[in-house]
Amino acid sequence: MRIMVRTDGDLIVEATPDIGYVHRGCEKIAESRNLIKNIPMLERPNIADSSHLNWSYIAPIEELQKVEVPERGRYIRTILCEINRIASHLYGMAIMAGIFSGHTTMYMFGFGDRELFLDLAEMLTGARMTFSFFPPGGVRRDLPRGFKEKLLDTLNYLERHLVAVDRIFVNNPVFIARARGVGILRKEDAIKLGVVGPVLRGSGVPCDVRKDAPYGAYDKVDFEIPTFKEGDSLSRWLVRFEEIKQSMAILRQAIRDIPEGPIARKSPIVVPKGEAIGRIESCRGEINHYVVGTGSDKPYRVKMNTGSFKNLPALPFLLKGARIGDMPIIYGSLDYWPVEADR
Amino acid sequence: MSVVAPFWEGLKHVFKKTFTVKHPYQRHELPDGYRGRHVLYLDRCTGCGICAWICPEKCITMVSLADQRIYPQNPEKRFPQYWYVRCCFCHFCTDYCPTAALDYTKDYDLAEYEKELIIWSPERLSKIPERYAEYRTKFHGWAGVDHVPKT
Repeated sequence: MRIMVRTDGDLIVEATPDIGYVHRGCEKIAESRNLIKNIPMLERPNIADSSHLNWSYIAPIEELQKVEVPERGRYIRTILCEINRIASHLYGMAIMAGIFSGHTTMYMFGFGDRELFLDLAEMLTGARMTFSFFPPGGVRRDLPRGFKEKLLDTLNYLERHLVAVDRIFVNNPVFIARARGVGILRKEDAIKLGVVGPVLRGSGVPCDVRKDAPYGAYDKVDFEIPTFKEGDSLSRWLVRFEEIKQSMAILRQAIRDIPEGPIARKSPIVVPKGEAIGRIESCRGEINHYVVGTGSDKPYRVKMNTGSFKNLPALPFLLKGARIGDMPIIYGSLDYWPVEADR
Repeated sequence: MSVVAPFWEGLKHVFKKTFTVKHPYQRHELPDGYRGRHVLYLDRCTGCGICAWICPEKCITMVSLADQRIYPQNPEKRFPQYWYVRCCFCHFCTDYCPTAALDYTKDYDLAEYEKELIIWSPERLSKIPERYAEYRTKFHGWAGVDHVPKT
């Protein structure tokens, strides 16, 4: 993405984001390919968040096929998605505090801890980032032997390590001075601009698809939606920090309550006639796939609407009136993923 | 907020092990079921071509083998050939194979200097990779890595 900025001295008068440099035409390609073959391609736009993109594409197809995922399959999907959410939030926190704010230690902490969650995902799916793990009807593999112990070990470690992160960064006067009061998005503006995910929750709106329209096993686990009233860059960073703790709580409950049974049901390799929408809460906000089927093995139309694209209108709004030096921290706090927005 | 706390955290890290792995002499230990390159069991493959059909990246071509061996289940000797430039390691081919002729391996070092070498013929795919490294490493994250000599 290129940001064209008009300035008056140090103050930004107008900022225009110019997107589309990594546009790959996924939606058009998806019309000419089998629905299974679309899975690896449609999760590539956001490799840090691939399981949510996969689920969001598969959910409307399952709705059209009238295939219900078995309960164990739904739990495994939830577990993988929460592992992915922690990894992605650690990535976002590390990028904002590490690269855009200059705290190299947070960068190393975030990426070091993220590696453990990539290892967990690798153990479960066989791949580190692009899992292609949810075909229509369920999941591809059951939980491997020793996974539960390794997951609990990792969660115990992260719980201890988040205390260190809290001590060094959350209460760090330098970081607070850098991020507090910068890029304030008030509640009314956030709702008007239509932003989603941690950006919306950082402005004090408790909106989360996992609570509003539960999918997977989210109706069976107990968790909270962290919100902050301030709406500045620090609160958007803190939402991610608090969400990691909630994801850890979800993982602990899911691995404890996971039922026995089949992990997948048979589903036809056909998109039946009709149209459906998938709603999934990804790491960067609500994500939708609109799928139209005509009864062939290829979808007639796939429309993606991703969290980064919905959060993009906030960028020129927040940059207007800000200082040039605050631009990186505002951009970093949105956790913008260019490929996901350009598709 | 005390200024001492970050320094204390930093000091603790001085006594921890390193995170660096000297690849390729030391290797990260991979879990079972890791989706590396494929292995092809020539005595099971019937040459049905489902792997080539399901491949999202179109990296599989069905080719005829020119060797003298007779494959009773596959009289036309048609086997998959992989072009690893395109492969995205989704392993749908392995999952969709009706006779389990394809399998996962932990081999992921597939870079080559010659363009032709990245095309893996059925004979080359059928070789199960031997253990290559002098050392295998176990990554602990919080405690650095352990270098375990290969036994």
